[in-house]
Amino acid sequence: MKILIEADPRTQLMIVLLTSVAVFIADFSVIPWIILVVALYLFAQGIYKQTAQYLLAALALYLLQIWVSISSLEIMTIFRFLTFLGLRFIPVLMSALALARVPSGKLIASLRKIGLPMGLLVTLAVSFRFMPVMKLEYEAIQISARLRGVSVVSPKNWLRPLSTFEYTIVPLMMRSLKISDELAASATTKGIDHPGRKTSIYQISLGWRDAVLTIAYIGLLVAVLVKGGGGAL
Amino acid sequence: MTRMQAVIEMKDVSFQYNNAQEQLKHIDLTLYEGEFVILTGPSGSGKTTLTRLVNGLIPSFYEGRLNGSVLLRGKPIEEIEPWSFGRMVGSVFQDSRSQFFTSIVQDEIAFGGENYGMEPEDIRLKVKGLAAESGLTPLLLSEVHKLSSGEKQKVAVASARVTDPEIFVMDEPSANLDMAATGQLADILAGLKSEGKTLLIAEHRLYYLLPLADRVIYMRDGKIEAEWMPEELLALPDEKLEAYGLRSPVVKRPVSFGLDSKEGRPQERMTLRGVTISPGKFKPAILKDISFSLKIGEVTAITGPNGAGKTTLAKTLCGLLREAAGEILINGSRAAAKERLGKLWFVMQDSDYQLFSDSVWNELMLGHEREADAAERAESLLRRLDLWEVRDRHPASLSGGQKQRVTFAVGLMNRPDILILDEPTSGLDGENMRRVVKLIREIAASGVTVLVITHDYELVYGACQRLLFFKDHGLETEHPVSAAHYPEVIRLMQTLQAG
Repeated sequence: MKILIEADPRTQLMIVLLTSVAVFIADFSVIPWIILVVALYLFAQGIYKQTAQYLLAALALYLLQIWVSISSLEIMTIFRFLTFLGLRFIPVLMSALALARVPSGKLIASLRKIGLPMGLLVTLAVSFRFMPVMKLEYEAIQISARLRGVSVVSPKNWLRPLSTFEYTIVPLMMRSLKISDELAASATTKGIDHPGRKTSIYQISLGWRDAVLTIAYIGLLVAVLVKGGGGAL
Repeated sequence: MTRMQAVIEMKDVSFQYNNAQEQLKHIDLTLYEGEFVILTGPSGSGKTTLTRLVNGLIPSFYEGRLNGSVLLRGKPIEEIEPWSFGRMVGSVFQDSRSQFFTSIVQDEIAFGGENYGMEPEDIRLKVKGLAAESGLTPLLLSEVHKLSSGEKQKVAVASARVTDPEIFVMDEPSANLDMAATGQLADILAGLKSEGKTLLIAEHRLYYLLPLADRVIYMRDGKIEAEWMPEELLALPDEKLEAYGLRSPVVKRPVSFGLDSKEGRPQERMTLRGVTISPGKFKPAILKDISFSLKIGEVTAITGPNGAGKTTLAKTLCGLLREAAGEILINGSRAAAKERLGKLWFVMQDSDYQLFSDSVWNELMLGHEREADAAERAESLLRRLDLWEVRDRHPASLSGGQKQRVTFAVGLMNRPDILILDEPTSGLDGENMRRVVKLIREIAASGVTVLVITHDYELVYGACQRLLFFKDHGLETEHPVSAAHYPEVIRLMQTLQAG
C-alpha cells in the first residue's frame, strides 16, 4: 500500500496522546468531529480499510445511542453508558492504528531515541509481536475446543462459564508460557542483553513532514474543540 | 592431514537443570574447525541440552548445576560474557512461532546486528546479501508470521548469520518442514559448510543432512553412546537402526509396504462430490470441485505445498466449516456440517492446544460424563495406548509422545467413523514415529477410516495405502502407495510437483 505521508513513530505516538487529551476534555457533541479529524490523519497515511471499519463501528454506536435515548426502558441506561464509553474510546483506538503498523524494529529504535529504558522497550516490542501470535494460538485452541464441545462460541457453554473459561485459558496459558520462554531464549542468543550501543537499520529523524502533521493536527483539534464548545475549555 | 583446530571442547561435562534429573552425563566431545556434526538420538536424550551449552543458554539462561569443562575456542564458557555468545555462535530453533522477535523479515534478519551495534549501513548491506542468497529478497517487507514454515526457517538461518558467527547450532531445524523445504534448508547448510563454518545440528531426520555430515553423534539417556562416519551409519542394517530408535538415514525403497488394499472391504465410508471449500464464509475458495472417496479401514495420506488447503479441508470434513458447494456423503447418505461434527475427529499436530483437563483420566471423560460405558472404554483405551500408569497425572507433565497418545485417545473415545491426523510424526524420533505408524495401522484395522496430512515419507510408506496430492486449488493427482509407484510417490513428496 502506498504511504502518502510517512510519519516518524514519535510523531504518531504524540498524535495518540493528543487525541486522548482531546477526547478527555471534549464535550460529547464534539466526539464525531474528533473522529473525523483522526480519520483524515489516517487517510493521509494511506490507511483506508481499517479506518472505514472504525467509521462504520462509530456510526453503529451512534445509531444505538439514539435508539437508546428515545427508548423508555430502564435497562437501556446501561447500554447508554456503554455506547458513551465506546464512542469516547474509538478516536483513541483509531489514532493508534498508524502506530500499530510500524515495524517493531523501527518502533524500538524510535522509542530508544526518546530515552525509554531498554527493559520497557523490550516488553513493549514483545507485546506488539505477541498479539498476532496469540490470535493464531487462540484459533488453534478453538478448533479442538469446538470438536470437544467446550468452546466459548457455543451458547450452551455460557451456562457454565467457569469451566468454559478454564478450557479457554488453560491451554492458552500453557502455550504462552512456552512461547515466551523460547522467545526470550532466542533473543538472548542474538545479543538482546548486549550492554553496548545499539543501532538500527531505520533512519529515525523528525522532518518537516512531522512538524506540518503535528501542527495541522493540533490546529484541527483546537478548531473542533473551540467551535463545539469543549466542555472544560 | 594436518590436525585441525578445536572449536568446541567438552570434557567430562555433566549438567542438571534446577529441580530436574541429570540431563547430561560425562560428555566428552570435541568439534574441529569446519566440521559438520549431526547430533541424533531419541527424544529426551539430552541433544537440546548439549546445544544449549554451545550457544551460551546454559548456564546463564537455563540455570542448573554444570560440572566438567566446556571450552569455546579455548576459553571456558563461564568466562565468556553471556551476551557475547551471539557473535561466535548462530542459533536456529525448531519452532518458528517462538524464535522471531520482530514483526517483519528485514527487521528479523537485522536484529542481531542492531543489538551488537554494527554500523547501520553494514547491516543493510548484509541483510540485502543474505536475503538474495536465501531467496528472501521479495519477502523482505513481509510479516514474519504470514510466511510458510520453509520461508520462516530461511529467515531464521539468515538472522543467525548477520553477525557472521563461526559456529552454528541448530535444534531440529527441519521438524516443521516438508521435503521440498527440507531440501532447500540442506542447500543453505551446504553453503555454510563450504564457507568453513562449524555446524552442530541436533536432528531426527537424517537423510537430508547425511551427505553433508562429517560425523554423526548418537546420544541416549544423557550419554554419547555411539559415533559414526556417514558411511558407517549407512551400512547399519535396518534392525540396528530400529534398535537405536533412529529414522532411516536415506530416502530408500522400503522393505515392506503399508497395509495391503483391503479387497474384502470395498465399502465406501465417505464420498466427496464436487466439493468446494473456503476458510471462511466471505473468503475465496481454497479448494474447488474436489471429488474423492475413502473406504472403511483405509489409511489415506494427504500432501501438498503450504497453503494448498489441507488443514481447511480437514476442518471442513469434520464439520467445523461448511462446504461452499458440492456434497459430502458418509456411509452413503448426505451429511451436512452439523451432522459430521462428532462423527469425524481431528487430531492436530500440537498436543498443547488440545488438552484441557487436570488429569489424563478427566481428559478422556470430558464430554462423556453421562455415558454409561465411558469409564470402561477409557480404561481399555488407556491400557491399549500404554497410558494407564499415568492416568492420574496432569497432561502437561507428560512427555511429548505420551501427550500425543492422549490426544489420540481423546479422539478414539468418540468412536469416530473417520480420524483425521495432522502431521502426527513431525518432530518425532524413529522409535516414536514407528509407534505412531503401528497405532494408525491398529486403528484402521478396527474399521476406522484414517486420513493423514503429512510430509513424512516414512509415515506414508509405513501406514498409508493411498496418497492424495493437493495443489493449485484442486486434487492434482492420486497414487496408490505400493512398490510399483514408489519412485513417483517419493518424487511427488520431494518436489511437491506433479509429473
